[in-house]
Amino acid sequence: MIRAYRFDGNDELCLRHGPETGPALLILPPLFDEANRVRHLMVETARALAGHGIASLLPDLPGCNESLVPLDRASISLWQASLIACTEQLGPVSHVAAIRGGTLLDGALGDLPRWRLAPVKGGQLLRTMLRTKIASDREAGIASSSDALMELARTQGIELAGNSLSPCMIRELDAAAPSEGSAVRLARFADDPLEAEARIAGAPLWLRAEPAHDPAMAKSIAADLAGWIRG
Amino acid sequence: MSEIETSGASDAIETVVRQVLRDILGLSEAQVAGFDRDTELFGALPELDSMAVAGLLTEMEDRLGILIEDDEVDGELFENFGNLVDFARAKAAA
Repeated sequence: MIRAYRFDGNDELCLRHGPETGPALLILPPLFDEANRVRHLMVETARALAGHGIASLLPDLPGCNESLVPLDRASISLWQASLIACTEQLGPVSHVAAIRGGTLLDGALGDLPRWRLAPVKGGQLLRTMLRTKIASDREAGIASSSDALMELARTQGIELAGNSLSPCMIRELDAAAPSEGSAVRLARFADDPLEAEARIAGAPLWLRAEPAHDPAMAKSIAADLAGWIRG
Repeated sequence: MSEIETSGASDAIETVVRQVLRDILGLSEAQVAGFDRDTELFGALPELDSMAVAGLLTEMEDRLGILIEDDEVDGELFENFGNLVDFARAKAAA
């Protein structure tokens, strides 16, 4: 069901699935282009969770998805503030699940139990976006470098891969890392040799050059989340 | 399917490069296992646009613990699978 929350003078949309009572999960998808590639996966995961009797909120961040706010007004701290407003108005939520860049925001609600898949530092996301800019500059016959672009971006902002990023966003994203938390459940893919508390059947769809969906992965994520939330 | 000559340590690097390509291009395990040194990448794989290449480089950095400089990236690097693996090995050894 599509709901809205009020933040900074605007209405932002939020998908709410599942029962009106009981435990509720805040879902934080990856950021920027990675978010677009897993939109289908996120919505299907929320639906599958509802099937397990778990409610979830999947909010639009200001400047993203259906939001009417220009992206260049957004920053990591503004997004965290929007999550507080969203969960106050449409929550409460008892748990948070974050994927990739979503883990940079999952401390916004304090030390709630957190589930993470493929956490990433903000600098890494920035680096990938800078590389697309360098590649397109090169095609246009302009020699640019990450250092020079970052220097410009920190003072004037920059458009990277179609994203208008303010100086504030650049500084915050560059420094952002998943926060420490006392109750973090780290999930990894089944074929990942590293240690993890949860195993997910699937693949990193956020990396895909061509967006794809994996229904089995949505079910796998939802099953693990449901077991974790029910304790 | 031809095998790439490798030592034990380099095998791990080659496997990582295969897995990154699998994840970026959405290929199956069997498809990337079929890549040999001469398998063409850029030009032969239309999905490998500048956005995909950017993601591929960052994933290689992350999974191999290396740092790739802007001026090390050129067309030759993505000409074929062999070039990409050689580059990854040289970076990991440095």
